[in-house]
Amino acid sequence: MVERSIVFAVAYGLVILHDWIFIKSNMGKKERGVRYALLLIAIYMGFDYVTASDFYDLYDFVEFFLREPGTAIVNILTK
Amino acid sequence: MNRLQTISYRQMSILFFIFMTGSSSINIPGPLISKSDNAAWLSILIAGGLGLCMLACMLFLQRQYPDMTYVEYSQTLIGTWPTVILSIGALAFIWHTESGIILDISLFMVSSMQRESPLYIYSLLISIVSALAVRAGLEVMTRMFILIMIPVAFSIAWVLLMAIPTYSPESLLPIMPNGIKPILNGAYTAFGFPYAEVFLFAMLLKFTNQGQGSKLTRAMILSLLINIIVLCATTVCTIMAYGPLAGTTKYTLYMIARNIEFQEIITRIESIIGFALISASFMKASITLYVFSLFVTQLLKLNDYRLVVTPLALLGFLLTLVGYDSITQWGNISVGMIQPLWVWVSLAFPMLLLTLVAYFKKGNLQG
Repeated sequence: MVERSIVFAVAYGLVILHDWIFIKSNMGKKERGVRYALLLIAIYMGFDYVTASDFYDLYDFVEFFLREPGTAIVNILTK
Repeated sequence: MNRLQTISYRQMSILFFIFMTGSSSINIPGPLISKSDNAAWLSILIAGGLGLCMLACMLFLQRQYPDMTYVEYSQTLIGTWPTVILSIGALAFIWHTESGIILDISLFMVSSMQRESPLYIYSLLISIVSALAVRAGLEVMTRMFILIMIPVAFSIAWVLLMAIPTYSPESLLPIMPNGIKPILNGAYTAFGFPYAEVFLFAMLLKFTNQGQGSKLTRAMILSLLINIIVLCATTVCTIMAYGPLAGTTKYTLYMIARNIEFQEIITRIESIIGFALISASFMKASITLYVFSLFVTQLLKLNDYRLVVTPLALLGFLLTLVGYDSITQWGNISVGMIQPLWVWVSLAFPMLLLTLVAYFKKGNLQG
């Protein structure tokens, strides 16, 4: 858990450092909102990674819709 | 900061070739041969044909709307909210592609060359360098990638030529011992990766210099045709080198390079292919991240794509860490059961829909 925390902290810290150096402070409200939303998603995924909790992620969502039809198509093509 | 960056039609077509060929020439042969056996090259031809159809749709739309990207002409043709709904699948797929490319490099390094190192080291480093490349802009990326691609293409060609003594042409037969279904299965997989990813260039074609429309069309089609030939050649060489075992290994070009021995001087040159894979995958990851940033920026009507590059690169890195629960699940997602259907639903269907709408709108205007 310590190792994972360090990895996430380094990755997130690099983004914050980049913002501090390169991103102008006079960003519009919309730009600020979008950045914060993306960073919030990153915190959710980071927490999943650090705690090894297997939260719901993109592939769980995609598999929910496409696993069965995808498997059926592959079965038709392999039989 | 917001100056429109443009490149020539030649640069665009070379960028397209780099994107389509770079990592797929190393990753595709093994899994494809495991599905289609000796007819894998036929599967590539079929999938490549479908990719050409998709490219034709993109070029048609580009001629109708030369100053617009996919998101912009989609909003013009079908409206903002239908575009947003159709874009959810495309955005999810582009995110998956970005993290998949980065994960692929890491898995290659950990499985083949540096087995004691953790995955996240390579994922993080590639993500950082890709983000910095994307921030530099399309012009800088294109010029840099053309220079990188020259040694990559040379090293792949050199390995295939040096491996000639190991080839057994009789391994190419029989071609269809189990009928046509394995070929269709392979084509279905090959369209999922790499040919459906042609879609991503619908976001980039706008950045070609003005007045080069017809030259761009010819150059892009030629790039894709050369890509199909290169992938077929790589697959055929793999089958000739390994025979029945060709489908059992993933990084077949790497394994071919391992077996090269010339006059006991040139031996164990697989690190050349390692360099080629990392370079090619880095270029593809950068282009994908650029398209991802541009897509989000235009969909949400933001001012500058650079504002979202680093958060999206971070999301791509994090998805490599938490996205898949096992290698088996990753195999099913990446080339197995889900990705081929995913591309039909999220990329091919919207592209076809927009092409039809644009075609009938054009007909109405002329009529």
